[in-house]
Amino acid sequence: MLTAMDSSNHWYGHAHVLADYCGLDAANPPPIQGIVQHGWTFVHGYGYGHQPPVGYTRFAWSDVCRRRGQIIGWRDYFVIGAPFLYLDRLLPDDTAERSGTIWYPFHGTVDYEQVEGDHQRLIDEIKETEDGPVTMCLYYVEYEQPQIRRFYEDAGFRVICHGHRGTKWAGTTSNFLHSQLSELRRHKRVASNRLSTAILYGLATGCEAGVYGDPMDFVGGKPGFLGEELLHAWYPDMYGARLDTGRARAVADAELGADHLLDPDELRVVLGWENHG
Amino acid sequence: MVEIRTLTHPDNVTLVRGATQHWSDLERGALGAASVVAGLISAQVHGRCLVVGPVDLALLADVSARAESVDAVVRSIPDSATYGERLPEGRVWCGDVADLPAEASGYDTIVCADLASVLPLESEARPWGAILTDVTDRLSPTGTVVLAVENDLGLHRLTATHNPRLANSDADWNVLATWDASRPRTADAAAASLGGATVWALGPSFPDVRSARRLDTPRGTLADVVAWHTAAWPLRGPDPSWLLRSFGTAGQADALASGWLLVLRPTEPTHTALAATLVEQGPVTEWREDGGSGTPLLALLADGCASHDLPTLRGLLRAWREAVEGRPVDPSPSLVLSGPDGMTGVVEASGSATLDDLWAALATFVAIVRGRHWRHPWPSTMDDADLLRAIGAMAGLPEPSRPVREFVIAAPSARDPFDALDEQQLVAAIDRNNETIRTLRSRLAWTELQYVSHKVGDKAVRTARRVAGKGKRVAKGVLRRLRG
Repeated sequence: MLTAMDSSNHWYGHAHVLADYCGLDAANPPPIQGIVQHGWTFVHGYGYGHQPPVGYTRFAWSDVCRRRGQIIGWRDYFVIGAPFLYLDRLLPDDTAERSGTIWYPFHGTVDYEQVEGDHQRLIDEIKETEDGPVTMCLYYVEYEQPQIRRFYEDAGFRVICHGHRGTKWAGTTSNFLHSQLSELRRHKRVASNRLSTAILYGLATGCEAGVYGDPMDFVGGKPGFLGEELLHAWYPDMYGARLDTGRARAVADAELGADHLLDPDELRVVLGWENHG
Repeated sequence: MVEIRTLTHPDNVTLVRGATQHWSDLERGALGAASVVAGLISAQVHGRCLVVGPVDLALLADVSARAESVDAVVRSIPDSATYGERLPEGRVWCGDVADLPAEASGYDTIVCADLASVLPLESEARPWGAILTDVTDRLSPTGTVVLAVENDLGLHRLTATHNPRLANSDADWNVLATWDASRPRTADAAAASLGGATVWALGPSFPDVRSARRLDTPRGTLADVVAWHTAAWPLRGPDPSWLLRSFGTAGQADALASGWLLVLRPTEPTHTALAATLVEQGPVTEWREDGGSGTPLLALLADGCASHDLPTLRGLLRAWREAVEGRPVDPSPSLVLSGPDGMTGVVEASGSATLDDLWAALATFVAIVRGRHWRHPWPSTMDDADLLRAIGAMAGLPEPSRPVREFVIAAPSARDPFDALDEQQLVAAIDRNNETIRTLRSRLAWTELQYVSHKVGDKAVRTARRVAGKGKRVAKGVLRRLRG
C-alpha cells in the first residue's frame, strides 16, 4: 500500500474536511491513498503539471472528469464528489437571513499564473450590477498585495480572504473551506468574472449567482487550460449578471458530484483510512 | 498519452454544449471509408444536407459536391476543425446534436454515423432512441436519412479479442454507449427505428462497422458471400468460420452483419450505387458482382480437413490449381467459389496467378489451419513447412522458385506475446504447444530407440569382429602349427 500523501490533498484543508467527515482527527488527517481533485477544472480534474502517477487513485469530483481523463489515457479515477459538499453536510446551516453579494475576482496562483486587468473597470461593473453590500473575497495571492486590497476597500467593499492554500504540507489554512462555507451561507448572491470553483460552491449552498465583468487576462495560463470559449459553449446558462438559479444549480451539482457523495464508512475504505481512528 | 494543448478551429465552426476536447473520432475510423458504402450514401444526397458525426473525408467531399449546401455537427473539437476546413461554405457545429440552434433544421438529407460516435462525453448518457430523435428532428418532413447502425451482435464483436464490456481503451469512456434497450439489434428493428427504412447489410468487417468493406443488396444475399472474407480476416480472435458456415447454411448470415445502413426517403432508394462492380479496400481490390455462385473453397477445405477426407481434399486442391493457375484472379481459397460449373476465382488480380502465388495462397490456408487450430488429417509431427509441402503436393504443384519454408506464415502464438491473446486464443496456443511437446517427446523417444538399437547393433558387430579376429588369429596359429 502507498503511504505517502500528495501534498495537494492538504490544500484548502481538503484532507482535514474528509477526515472530519470520516470521524477521524481533522487536525491530523491520515495519508490518503490517492490524490483528491483540489479545484474545479474543465480538463481532466487536475492542474497543469499535476499528473498523478500510475497506481495512485484519482479522487475526482464528478464522472465527467473521469471521462475526460479516460480519453487522454488516464485511468484509476474514483468519483467521490467535492470535499466542500462533505463539509456542507457536516455543518448545519443556521444562517438566519442572507444578504448582499460575495464577489470572487478570478485569481492567479502562487506557482504559475497571474491575472492582469483593469480593476477599476471591474469595480464599476460590480457597482452597476449589485444592489446590496458587496464582500470582495480575494485569493491570498492578491490579498497580500496591499495596493490591490486597498483598491477594493477604497471602493467601499468589505475585503476578506479565506486563507492560504498551502504547499508541501505547510502553510495550509486548514479551515479554509469552513470560512468559505460560512461566508457563502450569509450572502444572498455569489459572483465572479469567470466561471470558477467559488461560483459552483455558492450555488451549492443556495446562493443566487452571476458571472459577469471583465474576465481579465490570465498571464502564464497553460495551453489547453484556458477555456473561456469552451466554457461559454458548454454552460451558456452560467454566464450573465443574474443566472437562472435552477439551471445553474443543476450544473453546479453535476460538476461538484452532488450525486456521488459517499457515506463515512465507504469513504474511509476508499481513501485507505479503514485502519485509522 | 494525448497531449493537452490549445485547441483552435476555423471561423465557420461554432462550439455548442458537449464539444469534446482532446479527442478525434476521425482518427479512429469514419463512416464510408469504403467506396462501395460511400457510393450508396452519396447517391441519396440532395438539397440541404446535414452530416452528423464522423464520416470519411472523401465522402464528405462527395456529399459536398452533390448537395446544395452542407452543414455538419461532430462532437470532437479537432474533428470540427477538420470539417470546418473541408466545408468552407458550410456551418459546422461542435458538440451535442441536441443543442444545435434552431436554424439547424429542415434538412433535405441527413447523413449520420453510428450514434455511439455522436453522443459527446461531456453529455450525460441518454438512450439511442433519444439521440435518434435529436437527429431526425433536424430533417424536413420529406427529407432523406442515411444512418449507420453498428450491429451489437455482429460477427466483428462476437469474434473480437476482447468483449466490449472488458475493453478499457481511451475510447471506452462509456462502454454502455450502445447497449441500451432502445438500440436496434436486428435488421427488422433497425428498419423500424426509422419508420420502415430500407436496410443494407454491411459485411463483416474488422475492426468495426466504420471500416466495413462491402455492402450487400438489401437483405438476404449476405449468406451466399459472407464466408469469402474469411482469409482476409486476422488470425487473432476466436475463429469466425464455423459461425459463418452455420449461420449461412441457416440463411441467417445477415444477422452477423457488422452493421446496417438505413436509408429512409419518401421514395425507394435507387440502387445505382451498386453497379456491376463493388469496389473494395484492403487485401481485396475488386469484387465482381457477377462472380458466380457456389461455395467458398475455403469452407469446403475446412470440411474436408475436419472429416479427414483426403480424397476430397486432393480433388478440391487439384481443381483449384486448374482453375486459377495462369489466370488473372486472386488464388486465395477464400476467394474461389466451387459450384456446379467448377471453380471460379471471383476477385480479379492485376496479373496472372503464378506458381509462387499459388504456394503463397496455400501458405495462407496453412496459417488458418494452424492458427485457428483446425482439426486436420496431417500428422502432428509435421511443422508448418512440412504441412505446406504436403498440401502443395496434394495440389500437384511443382517446387516454387524459392524454398517452401519461406512461404510459411507464423501462427499467432509465435508472433504475439501471450498478453495479446484472449482466453480462447490462449487455449488454442496451449493446445498447439501441447501437440508440439507430444510430438517432440515422441521424436525423442524414437531417436533414443534408434540410438539404443544402433548401440546394440554396433556392439554386436564389434563382438562379431572381435570373435572373427580372434578366430582368424587362432586359425592362423593352427595353420602355422600344422605347417611346422
